[in-house]
Amino acid sequence: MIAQRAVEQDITRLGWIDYLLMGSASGLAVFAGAQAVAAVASAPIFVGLVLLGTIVSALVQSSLSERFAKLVGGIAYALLALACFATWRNFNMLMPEKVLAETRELAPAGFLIWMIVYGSFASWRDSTLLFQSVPGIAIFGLVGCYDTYRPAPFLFFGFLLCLCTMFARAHARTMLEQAAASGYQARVAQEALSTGDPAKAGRWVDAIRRGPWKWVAGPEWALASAASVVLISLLGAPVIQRSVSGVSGFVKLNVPVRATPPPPPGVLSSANGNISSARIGQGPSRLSDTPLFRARTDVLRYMRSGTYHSYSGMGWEQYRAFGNPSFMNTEDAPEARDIRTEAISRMKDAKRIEWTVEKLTLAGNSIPTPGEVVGLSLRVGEYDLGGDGIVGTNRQTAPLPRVSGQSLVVDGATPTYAASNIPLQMDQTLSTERVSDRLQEDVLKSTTQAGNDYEKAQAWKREIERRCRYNLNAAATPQGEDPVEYFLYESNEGYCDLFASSMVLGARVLNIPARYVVGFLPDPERDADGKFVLRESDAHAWAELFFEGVGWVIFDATEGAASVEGGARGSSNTGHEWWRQTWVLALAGFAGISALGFAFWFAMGKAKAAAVLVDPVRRALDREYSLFVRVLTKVGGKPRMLSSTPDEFLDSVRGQLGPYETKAESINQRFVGYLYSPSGPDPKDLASLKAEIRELASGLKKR
Amino acid sequence: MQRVASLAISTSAIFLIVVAIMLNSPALFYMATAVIVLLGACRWQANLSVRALHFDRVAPESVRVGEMVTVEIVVWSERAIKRPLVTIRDNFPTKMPVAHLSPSLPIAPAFELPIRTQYQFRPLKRGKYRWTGLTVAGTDALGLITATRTYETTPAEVTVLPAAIPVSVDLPTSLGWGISEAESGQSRGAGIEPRGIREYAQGDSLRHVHWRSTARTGVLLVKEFEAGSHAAAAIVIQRTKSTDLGAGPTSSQDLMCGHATFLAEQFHRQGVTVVFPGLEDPRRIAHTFERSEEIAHLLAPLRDDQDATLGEDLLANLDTLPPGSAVFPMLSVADPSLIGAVSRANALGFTVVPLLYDAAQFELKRAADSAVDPGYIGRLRAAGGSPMVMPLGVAG
Repeated sequence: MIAQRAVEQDITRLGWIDYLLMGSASGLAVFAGAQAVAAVASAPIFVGLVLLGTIVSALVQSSLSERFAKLVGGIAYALLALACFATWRNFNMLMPEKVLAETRELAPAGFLIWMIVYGSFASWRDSTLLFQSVPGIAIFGLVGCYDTYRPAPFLFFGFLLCLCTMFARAHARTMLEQAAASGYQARVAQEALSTGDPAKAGRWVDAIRRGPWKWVAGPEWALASAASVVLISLLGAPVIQRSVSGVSGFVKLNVPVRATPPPPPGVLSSANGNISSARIGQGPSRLSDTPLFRARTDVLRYMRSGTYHSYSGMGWEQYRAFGNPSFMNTEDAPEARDIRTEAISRMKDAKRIEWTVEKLTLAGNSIPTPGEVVGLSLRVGEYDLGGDGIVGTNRQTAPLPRVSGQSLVVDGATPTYAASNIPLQMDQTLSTERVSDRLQEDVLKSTTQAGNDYEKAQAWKREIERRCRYNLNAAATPQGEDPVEYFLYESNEGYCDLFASSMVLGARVLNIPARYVVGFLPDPERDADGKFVLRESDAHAWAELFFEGVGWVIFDATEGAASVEGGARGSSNTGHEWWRQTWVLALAGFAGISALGFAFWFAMGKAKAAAVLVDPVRRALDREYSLFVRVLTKVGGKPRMLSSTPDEFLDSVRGQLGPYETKAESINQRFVGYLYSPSGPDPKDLASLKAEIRELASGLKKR
Repeated sequence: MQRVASLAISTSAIFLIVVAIMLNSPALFYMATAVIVLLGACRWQANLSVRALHFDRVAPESVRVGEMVTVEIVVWSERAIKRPLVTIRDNFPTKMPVAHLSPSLPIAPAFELPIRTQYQFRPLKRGKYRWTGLTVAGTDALGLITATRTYETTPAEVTVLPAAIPVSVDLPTSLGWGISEAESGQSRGAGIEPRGIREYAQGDSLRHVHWRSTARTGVLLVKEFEAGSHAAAAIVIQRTKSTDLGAGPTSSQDLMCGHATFLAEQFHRQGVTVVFPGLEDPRRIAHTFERSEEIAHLLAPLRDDQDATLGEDLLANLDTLPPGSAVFPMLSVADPSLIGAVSRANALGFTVVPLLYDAAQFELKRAADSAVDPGYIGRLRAAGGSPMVMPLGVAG
C-alpha cells in the first residue's frame, strides 16, 4: 500500500515544474506568433491567457485522480481543440488587433495561437502536456516563414529548452514506470519486509536512484548538450544558409502583415507623421535582407522615400509642407508652387516613366518613388502627397497597396547652373546656418578651379570621395561633435548618411539649393517577375541638388569613395564593432554558459563532497583508503593517479606485492564495494578493514 | 508517446529546413539547425549509451510452467563515462512462448562496477531452452531516440517443467488402489502408517487435514499415509513422430505431460511407485520425496521425435516393469500396434488402462486418426485393455 502510494506520488503525477515549463514554452510560442503578425498589443494578452490556462490545468490535475485524468484528459483536449476551431475567430475579435481573424492568410497562425490557449486549459496528463508543443513548433515555423520578428530564433531556443526539459522529465517518469513493471518495486518491498523496515517499501524510487541509477548521466550532460545546440545553431545556421544560397530562396512569400522592423537610420519617410527628424553618424546598424518593397521601373533608379531640408547639427529635420493631392495629375500647377511642382516646372525635356511599387510590410506608410511623381493609381483619400513629392499610403491593414504611377525624369542632360528664384518654401535648401567656417573655406578652396555650379558640385563631391572612405562598420560620432565635421576632418570614414550630408552642406556653401534624401538603391538584379526588390539593407541616403532646367539632380558621394575592407556596401549589412559580431557574441555566450555549467558542476561536487564528509563513517573510510594507498605506494613506488580507479592502481603495483598480493586484492575489493555501493560500511566493517590494512602494512614492512 | 514525439520533432526538422531553403529565411535556418543539432545530440547520446558493455546473466536452472521467473543480468561498463539509462531485452528462443514478460529494469551502467537489472516472465510451455545474446536499448536523456545493440553472452539454459494439470479419472476398481479409492478414503483408513505431513494439493480429502500444523504455520497441511502396498504404475506417453498435435503451449503432448504429472503425484501420495518406461529404467526407481521433481525433469524435454510407435515402445519395455504394474499408455493418435502390445501385457499379468485423447480437439484434420474412435476403443477392449477417454483440460 505504501509502495503503491509512492508510485502515485513519484511516477504518475505531473509536478508544478512540468506546468511551469509548459506555460513558459507555450507563452514563448504565442508571444512570437503574435509579434510576427504585428499583433503587438495582443501578444501579452495571449501569454496571460496561456498562463491562466496552465494554472487551471495544474489545479484540475491535482484535484483529479490519476486514472480519471488519464481517461478524460485526452477527450477534454480534443473537445477543446474542436471548440477552438469553431470559436477562435469570435474570441479574436475581442483582441486589440483583429488582423489574425480578418486576414485569410494569417488564419493558420491565428488558429494555432488560439489552440495553444485553449489547450493550456486541458493539459491534465503527460501526453496532452507534451502535445502542446506541436502547435508551438508549428507557430515558430510560421514565424520563421514570415521572418518578421528578429528575436524569434532566440525565443525558439528558449522554447526548445523548455520542451527538452519537459521531455526529459516525461522520459524519467516512463523509466520509473518501467522499473516498477520490471518487478524491482516488489523486490524492494520484499527486502523491506524481510529487514523489518516497511517504510523502506515506500521509498523504492529513492532506492532506485541510489542504486541502479546512481551513475546515470546527470545535469552536466544536459547542460553541455543545450550549450552545444545553441552554439552550433548560432554558428552553423549562417554557414548552412550561405552554403545553400545557390538553391535557396526560390519561393517568395508575400506576407500580408509584418511587425514593424526597427527603422534603419535615415530611412524614414517624410510622409510618416510620427518621425520628423533623422539623425546621422549613429554608427553601424543591423539591417536585414528583409524585402520591404518590390518595384518595377524602366531602369535601376534611386527610389526616394523622404527628404530633409534643415540641418540641426546632429541630423536633418523634415520639410513638413504638404502638397495638394488634387494637383497630382496636373503637371502644370502654378498656384500650388510646392517643392514638387516647382521642380516639375523647371524640368525641360523631361520624359515620363511608368513605375509600380508593391508594399510588402506595414513599416511606415511612405512609398519609394523615382523622379517627380505626376500620376498615381490610388484614389484621393487613399494617399498623402508631401509637398516634397513623397507619396504615403493611408492604408493600415491588409491587403497592402500595390501602387502604380508615372514620374518625370530628365536623363542624360548635363546641368550647368543652380536654380535661381526659388520659392520661399525652399529657402531652407540654401541654409548654411550650421556650417563651420573651416568647412566653408574648404568647400570654396576645393572648387576654385571649377567653372559652373554643376562643375563646382562635382569638384566638392570628388573632394569628399578623396577624403573619406565608405565604411558600414564606422563608429558613431562622439557626443558633442558635429557629425559632418567629424566625418570630414577626424574619422574620414562613415556611412552613406555622412557622405550625403557633407555633399548637401557643401552645395549650400556653393549657393546651390540642396536637400538630404533617403530612400533605396536596390540591387541591380531583377527578380523572376522583372522587379527590383527593395530590401531593408538597400536603404540609402544621397544628396539632391536643384539645377535650372533639370530639377533635382542626384549626387551620391559614396560612388567614387574607397571602401574600408569588410565595410563596403553589400559586404556586410549587419556589421558593427568586432566585439558585437555574431561569432564573438556566440563564443562569449558559450563561454558564459560553460562557466555557469562549470560553476554549477563545481557547486554540486562540493555539495556532494560536503554531504559525504559530514558522514563520519564515510570520512573514516576515505582516511583508511588514503592509508591503504600510501602503504601500496611505498611498496610499489608509484603514486596513484587521480584518474585511476582502485583496480587500476592495484594493478600498477601488483608486481611488487609478492605474497601479499591476495591480501591487498581482498582489501581493495572491499574498498570498491564500500566506496561505490549505495550503502557504505558499518563501523564493524570499518574496524575489520582497518585491522586488515594494519596487518598488510606491517607484513610488507617486515618483508 | 516516445515514438510520436520523436516523429513529430524529426518531421519538424525536415519541414523547417526545407522551408528555410525555399524561402531563404534566416530565422528558419536558425530554428532548423537547432532542431537538427538537438536530434543529432540525442542520436549520439543514444548510440553512446549502448556501447562498450558486458553482461552476465543469472537465470534459474528450472522453473514450472506458469511460474513467475526473475532473470537477473549483471552489467559492467568498459568505459569511464556516464550514460543515459539502458534497458535489456533477452534473445529468447522463438520456440519458448512466455506470458507477462515485463520490461527490464532501466539501469545506468557504471565503470568497473556491477549494476544489476532484472525482468520477469511466465514460461508457458515445458521444455529445455537454451539461448545466448541479448539486445541493449539505450535512449537519450529526452527519450526521443533509441539505439539498440546486440551483445553475445554466455549461454543460458532453463528447463521449464510441466505443471500438474488436475484431472478427474475414474480408474477401474479392479486395480485395487485407484484414485477412486484414494478419494473415498479407503486406502487412507485406520491402521495404515502415516508417512508425514505435506501441503494440501487439489484432490486431497479434507478429512486428512492436519489442523494443528495448519494452525501453527498458517498453511493448509494434510497427513500423508503409506498405501501399504507395493503397487506400481507405468505411464507411457506417445512420442512417435507427428503425434504431438496442436500448436503452442496447449498441444496434446503438453496436456498428457500435465495429466501424467498430476496422476503421478496422486499415485505417489498413495505409496504407488510410478515409472516412465522408455524415459528411465524402472528397475532403478527409488521411492523418494524428490520423485515428483525427477518426474517433472523427465517429462520436460519430451518430444514427438521417436520412430517407434507407442505399442513398440511398450513392448520393448514390458520386461522392465515391476510385476503387477498397472500400465497407462497415453495417446491421442490411434496406434494399431498398441492392440498387440496390450494383449501381450495382459498375458504377462499387467493391467493396461489406455488413456485416450481426442486428436480432433487439437487438430481437426487429424480427426480420422483420433484415438477416441469407437472402433479403435472396441479393439483395445477386445485386446484386454480398459481404455478411458480423457477429459480435455487446458495446459498451463
